[in-house]
Amino acid sequence: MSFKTDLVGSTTEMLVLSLLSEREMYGYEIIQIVNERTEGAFDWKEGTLYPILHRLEGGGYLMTEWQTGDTGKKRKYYRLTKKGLAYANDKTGEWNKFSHAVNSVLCQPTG
Amino acid sequence: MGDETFEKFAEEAAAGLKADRELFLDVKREISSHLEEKEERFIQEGNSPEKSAELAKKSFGSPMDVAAELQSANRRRMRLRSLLRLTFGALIVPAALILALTLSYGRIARLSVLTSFYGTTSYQLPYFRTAEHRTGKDAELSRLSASPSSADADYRFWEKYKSDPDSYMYYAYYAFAESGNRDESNDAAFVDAMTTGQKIEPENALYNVLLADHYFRKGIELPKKNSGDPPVLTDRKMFDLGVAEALTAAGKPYLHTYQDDVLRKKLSGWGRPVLTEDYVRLMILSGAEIYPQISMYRNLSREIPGAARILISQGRREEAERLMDTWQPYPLLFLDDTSSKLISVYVARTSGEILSDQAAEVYNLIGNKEKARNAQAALERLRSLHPNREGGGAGLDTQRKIQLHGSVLAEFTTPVFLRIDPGIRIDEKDLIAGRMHDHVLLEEGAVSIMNIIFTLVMLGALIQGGVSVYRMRKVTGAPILLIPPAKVLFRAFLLGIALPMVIYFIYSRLPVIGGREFGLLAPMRWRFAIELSILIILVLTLPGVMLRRHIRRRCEDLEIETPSSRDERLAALIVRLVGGFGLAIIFAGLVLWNRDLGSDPMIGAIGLAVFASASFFTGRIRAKHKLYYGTLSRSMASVYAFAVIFISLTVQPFLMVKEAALLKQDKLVYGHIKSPSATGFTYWEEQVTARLKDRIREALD
Repeated sequence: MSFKTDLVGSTTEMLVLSLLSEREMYGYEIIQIVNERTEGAFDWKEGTLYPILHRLEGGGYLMTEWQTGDTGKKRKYYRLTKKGLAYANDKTGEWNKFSHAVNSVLCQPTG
Repeated sequence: MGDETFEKFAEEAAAGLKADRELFLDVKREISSHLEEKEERFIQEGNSPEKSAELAKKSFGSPMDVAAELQSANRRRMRLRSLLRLTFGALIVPAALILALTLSYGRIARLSVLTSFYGTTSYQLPYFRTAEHRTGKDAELSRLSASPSSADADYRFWEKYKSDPDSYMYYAYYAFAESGNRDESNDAAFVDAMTTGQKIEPENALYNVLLADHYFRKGIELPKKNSGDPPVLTDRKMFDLGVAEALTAAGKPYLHTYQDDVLRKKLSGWGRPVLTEDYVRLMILSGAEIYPQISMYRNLSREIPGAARILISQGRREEAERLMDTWQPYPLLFLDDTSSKLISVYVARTSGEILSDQAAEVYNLIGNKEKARNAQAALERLRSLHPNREGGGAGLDTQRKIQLHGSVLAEFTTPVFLRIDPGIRIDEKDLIAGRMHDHVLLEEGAVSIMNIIFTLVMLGALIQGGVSVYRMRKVTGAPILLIPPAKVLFRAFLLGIALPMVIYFIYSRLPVIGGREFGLLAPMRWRFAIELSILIILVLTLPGVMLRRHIRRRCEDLEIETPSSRDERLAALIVRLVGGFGLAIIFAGLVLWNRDLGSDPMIGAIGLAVFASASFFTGRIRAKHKLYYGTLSRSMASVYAFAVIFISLTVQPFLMVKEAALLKQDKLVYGHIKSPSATGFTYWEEQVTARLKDRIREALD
């Protein structure tokens, strides 16, 4: 099952921040993990991910470093900055409140 | 595989970032790397390499759409980075250049006043002369110090302040200048000017003295010193006028030239002295005001006895005796309150010796034995004040102490006081301020030179960076000039430049191992030159080493070819040898041999020649890795711009504050001349002068 673009778009940034709060990751890895965890439901295009990563980096929420991976390939890793970590927490909190509010409407039978 | 098509795809996707070459290359590399990983996954899933490459690209989306998205996402960052580049290129480097020129070059030019001062002595500190010194500063100094000879200017000065209650002083000052300026064609004008002076200030003997000298010059011809010949009368009328003026002068209550007062007025706009050159200027100017007075003492002490002998030869014994009786009032007139500098008092004493010696002979010719004996006794008393006959032994230890631990200037001024006044006791702690002052001045010179070298390195690096850009203008995606993050640049500057300098400054002030002794018997110039050369080599090589490491890693991230370690080492070695060592050796050589470094265009030419040769020798290696070296040059320019700003805004002001504080403390040489109203050049000079003045007065009574 795939979702409407505007619905996915509004959550992409929060998901990226949330994933990076677990550990540092490179672009391809982020897409793979999202696809695994959502069982392909989101099916992100790289063309969507990279502009978001760059915007966050430009805003000072992420920092990057080129590292050589296990395969000997060089990968650009993204990591949350202090500012990014605070932003990720805000976004997650905001989402939790939002989803709670949506759920409370959806789950409450009308009289 | 899809390598080539991936490159093309990535280039299209990152096309919107081409304005920022480093970002463009970084993103391009990131996209290619992503596509390669994805391609591998499709291959692992059983697809053919060709199909896998196609799928990888397809899954990425349209490169045109991605390009637009990436450009929009990076717009803010690109603007910020471009602003940073602009700041570095358009602001930091020119700011560093301006600071280096105004502070370092300006400081050297100011210190050159000191060189000029020391230059007139047999001792020289290794300061540096500049073109400005030889033109502007010298001209300014000679203009100001030559004021007594520019009578017209002094007349205008009097006219300007005519309504002041003190204007009689300015007239006397002008009249004195006029006496040094007169020629045969303006005799009448000179006499008129002196007559006007007498009307303005009837009690001042100055105008009569100047007129007496004027008439005697025309009326008698004095024999050559020690020739034993008698004086010759050349113009009776002039001679008689001279005698009349000399007698009138001796009867007046005081003789004032007001040099100190007018000097004070002239210097009132100069502010209080702060740095060495301010004090030196004051000394030069004050000295210039005293020397013309000396010629007046000398002339009269020879003319009066000469005139008395002529009167005797004419049988005018009574007039001769009256004239000769002035031998005593004249030296006392010269010892008035304005005679505050040792040199004036010294000359007054010498005039007293000549006059009393001549008086004894003249009184014997007249036949007045008692007056002859009195004059002879006064002569003996005056002679006993001669420095060669007193002082000596007790002062020798102190003199040696000064030679070992004192400042250079103290070494050649203070022993004079020691010989004149055996009562002087100089404590070793009095020598510290002067010695440290010498040291700080040397450091200021060295730091200024270092700043000029840094500026040259900065400019050289910019030129090399510019050449790299030009050479690579047709290469796709290039030239790029990577900007190491501010953190990396700052670390290179901090550890590579600021830290070695701070360590040096602390070390050079440590007692025993670092402590400086600049006394003439404790020469430190070799050690100073070696230490300074080591410091220069360090600050010129360390930042490069640090930046190279960072840039090499960055180039590897972006798959930019870097030179092999062997080539890199070779190129660095050549640059170090030709650049760092070359400059250090030139500098050390100039310090050691105290050569005229000052032709500033020459320093610039040497510096640029050194860089040019370094570039020439490393040209082959550089040509192969234009991008790497272009980046390195660009980064070096930034680091040295930091360094120049750091030195100009912290090290130099610190040293100047230190210098000002030490000058205030230096009791032996400076410090005392806090304002032009101070009566002596130095504390000891004032003490010695006051005591000597009293003793001369006693001897003459």
